[in-house]
Amino acid sequence: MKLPFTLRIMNLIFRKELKDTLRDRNILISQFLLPLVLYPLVVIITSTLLTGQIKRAEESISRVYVVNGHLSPILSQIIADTPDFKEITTDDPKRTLEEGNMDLIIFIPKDYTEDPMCDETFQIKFNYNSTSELSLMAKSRIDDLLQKYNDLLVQNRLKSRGLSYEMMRPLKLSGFTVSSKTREAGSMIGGFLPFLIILFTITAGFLPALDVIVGEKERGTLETLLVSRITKCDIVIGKFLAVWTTALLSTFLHLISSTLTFATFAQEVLEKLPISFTWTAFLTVIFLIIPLTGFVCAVIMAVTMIAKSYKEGSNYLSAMTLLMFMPLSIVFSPSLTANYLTSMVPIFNISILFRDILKGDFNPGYTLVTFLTTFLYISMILWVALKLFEQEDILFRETVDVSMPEFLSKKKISRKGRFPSSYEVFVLICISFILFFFVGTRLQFMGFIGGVYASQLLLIFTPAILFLYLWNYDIREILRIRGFSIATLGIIIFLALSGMIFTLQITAFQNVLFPFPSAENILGKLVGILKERNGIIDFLIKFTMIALLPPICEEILFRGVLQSTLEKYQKKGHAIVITAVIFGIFHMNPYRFIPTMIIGLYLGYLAYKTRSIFPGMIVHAINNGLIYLVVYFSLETNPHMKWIVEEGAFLPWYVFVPGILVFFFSIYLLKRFYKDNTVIS
Amino acid sequence: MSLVEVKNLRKIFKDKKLGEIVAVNDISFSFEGGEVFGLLGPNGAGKTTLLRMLSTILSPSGGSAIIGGYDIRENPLEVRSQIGFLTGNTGLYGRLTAYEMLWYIGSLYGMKKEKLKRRCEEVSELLDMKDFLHRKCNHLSTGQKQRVSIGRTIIHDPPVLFLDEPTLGLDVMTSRTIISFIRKAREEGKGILLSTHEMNLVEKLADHISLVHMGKVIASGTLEELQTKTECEYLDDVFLSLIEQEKINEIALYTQNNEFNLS
Repeated sequence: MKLPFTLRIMNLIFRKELKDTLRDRNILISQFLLPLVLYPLVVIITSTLLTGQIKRAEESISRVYVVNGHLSPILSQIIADTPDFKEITTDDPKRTLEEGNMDLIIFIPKDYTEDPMCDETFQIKFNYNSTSELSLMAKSRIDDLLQKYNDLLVQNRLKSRGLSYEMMRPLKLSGFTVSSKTREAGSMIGGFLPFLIILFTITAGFLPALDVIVGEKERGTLETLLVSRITKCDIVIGKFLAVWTTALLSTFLHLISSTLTFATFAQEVLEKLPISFTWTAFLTVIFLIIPLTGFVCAVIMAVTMIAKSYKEGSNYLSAMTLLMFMPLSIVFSPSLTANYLTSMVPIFNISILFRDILKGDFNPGYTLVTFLTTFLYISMILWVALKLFEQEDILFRETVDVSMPEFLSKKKISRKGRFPSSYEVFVLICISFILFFFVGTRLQFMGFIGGVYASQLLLIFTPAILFLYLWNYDIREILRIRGFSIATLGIIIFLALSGMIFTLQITAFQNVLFPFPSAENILGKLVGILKERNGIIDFLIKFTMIALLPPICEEILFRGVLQSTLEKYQKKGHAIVITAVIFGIFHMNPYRFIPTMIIGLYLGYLAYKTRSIFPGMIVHAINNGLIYLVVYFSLETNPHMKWIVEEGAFLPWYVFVPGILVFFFSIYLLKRFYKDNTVIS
Repeated sequence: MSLVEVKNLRKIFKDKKLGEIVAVNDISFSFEGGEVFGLLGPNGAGKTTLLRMLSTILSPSGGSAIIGGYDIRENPLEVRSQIGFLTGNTGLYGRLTAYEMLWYIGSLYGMKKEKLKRRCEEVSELLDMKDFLHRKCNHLSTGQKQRVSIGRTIIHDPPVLFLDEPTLGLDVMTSRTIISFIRKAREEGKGILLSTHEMNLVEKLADHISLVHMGKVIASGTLEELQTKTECEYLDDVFLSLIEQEKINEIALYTQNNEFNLS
């Protein structure tokens, strides 16, 4: 058998690219010099600042104000006797605290008494300023002080009743505390270390890949290379090896530099890290970085193949980095454990292994599976990269860029028939995603219901509409604002119900292979909120939140803007699948990726066939609405109904058999009814 | 059989917005070793696309071409070893030295170390590159870069040369070096396809001229034949008189399209 590449040529390209890359000043600085300088600098600066501040706080005297202090002379005496504390007087204690001229306020209740004959328990509160290091120090000292005070009061009370204090204390405990500050810092760094390693890996291949692929296109050297007596496979593999090597060198440099820095400047922290540092662990981490870097570089190569210019390439890569971070954020939830299946999920698998190895668990089986599957993925992605590289229009494509919004140009152009480019839509989706990821989660954290409203309307609906409006695109056509035949309403309702069944059944299969972290209701923590019954208005607000807003906003962004645009440039099937995959990713939950994607698939098909956005909204609304109603009326305990909200459980046969039949039948009917997409005018 | 034989070569690009674009429309020609074949046409006439197809970077939508006995579709790798393609832009690796550049490309063609070393000497002698042979390409002047480009084009001593705008943007001195290089190569018996929009270059060098416009050959022959055909003395006039009518048509079509888009 003849190989599609020659080792000699691959080696030539590899060596040339390496030489070329290592001569690039930008790459030298960012990939090699930066890691060497970065860690010492960061550690020295932060540790100097930190220790200085801690020292200052430790040496300080905490200034306290006691509200109603006249009621607690004993406390005042204790404060006066403790060298760390000083009682001060002020007119406006709250303000003085905020301004940092005082560290703590102790509130003594109005009815308080130190009278030993009293039997009551009093609540003593204190206020501190969490932004002030001194105030935090006072807070950590106040426990001891109040404990002393408490003991004294107990003694007094017992004495006045003729009892001995020792009688009340059969045990004397002596505990020890480790300085809580270092421990916290340690656990933070311990969780952060694998995260950092992966972060470097992801970014390490960035510049070299851009340089060897896009740089070559931009400088016009690609043609020179292509007319040589070599195959495209030689080029792709040779360049990949060069990028991989550069990225590996850079990652190792990061590792060595950070380890050395910690060992030299912050040994205390290193010793207190909740990670077990052994040579085996260290070598395994290094051993795993090789395939991890390879995987990331392969993906980066494939992505840069599509790009024509540096600018375009770095846009794609930023979006890609965001996607690669998704598995990472889950890994650091401790409930997740490794198994053979998680060992097959790229990036995720290595991240879990890192975490476990640093904790001291090493499983050779998972490591081997991870290692092998990653290499399998690398070859698959390289194959994709090669196929992309073989496409002529990608080699000699004109740069597409986000155009200026139309309203900025003076020329007035009719909206009719104007569609955005795939690239513009891609940027829109990324912006929506980033907004949703950072702003949305924060909004929902501030107030759940308001947060959902705001994030759906402001982060999904508004960007999409604003984009179409300002860039002067054909809103009606893109969003498919068009009626649909009422005769098909029946099909649509059947599709909604059976689609749910179909999706849940697939989720159940997925649950067997790749179990959910915990048996969860679809709505998760939402259930509590949704179960509350506070009258009709409240019901309507929540119903809109669950069953109306997401269908409307998400259909507009996904089946509307995204899929319509893709349909214009791609094969229809591809457009539907790409949209469904992005729809799945957008929901930011790896366990729900497949179910959400399946829902996206039939919603996409529906939009494409009916040429209207409304059927999809109806299906989406039925899906969400049904779940809400079941929870609201507490039907989930009903054995015939609970499948609607139970995720990952197999459905009763009398539900899923007819459900799946109806599902495929309604798809078939849809296909028949809208045979040539011309039924509706 | 001729050294280069092109038969009914076609290239259709599918553009997502504009639909199908015929970049090269049924072009046929042939030439022998020791001949300079001039391909003359305005920018966007399809010359570069044609050259890219002949050098097997693009695959043709129709027709065929045989270069040095190898079919461009069936034996692309063999075709590539028969040709040296000087692309429109200089296409050098800025961080490699001129010598490293020659060495890299030569070794990609599978040349042995000793032979390659000798050939690098020869080429740098021929193109007068001694002064800057060990300087990085980024630091070279436009003329020097162009000489390195030509050097890497001929490093494997191919029998056929495709030169795409070889004197574009060069000063008179460098242009002259390149013109004399082309003459020398012709004397050595190489078949040269010279693609340019510069009339005087073709007038000076070409044994045979094809005028290309909008993907089609609109006239073909020696300079004298074309002069008699159009009754014009200078190639500029020959060219203009031939494409004038077509250009008017083109403009008309373009305006028409734009109006269509606007409505």
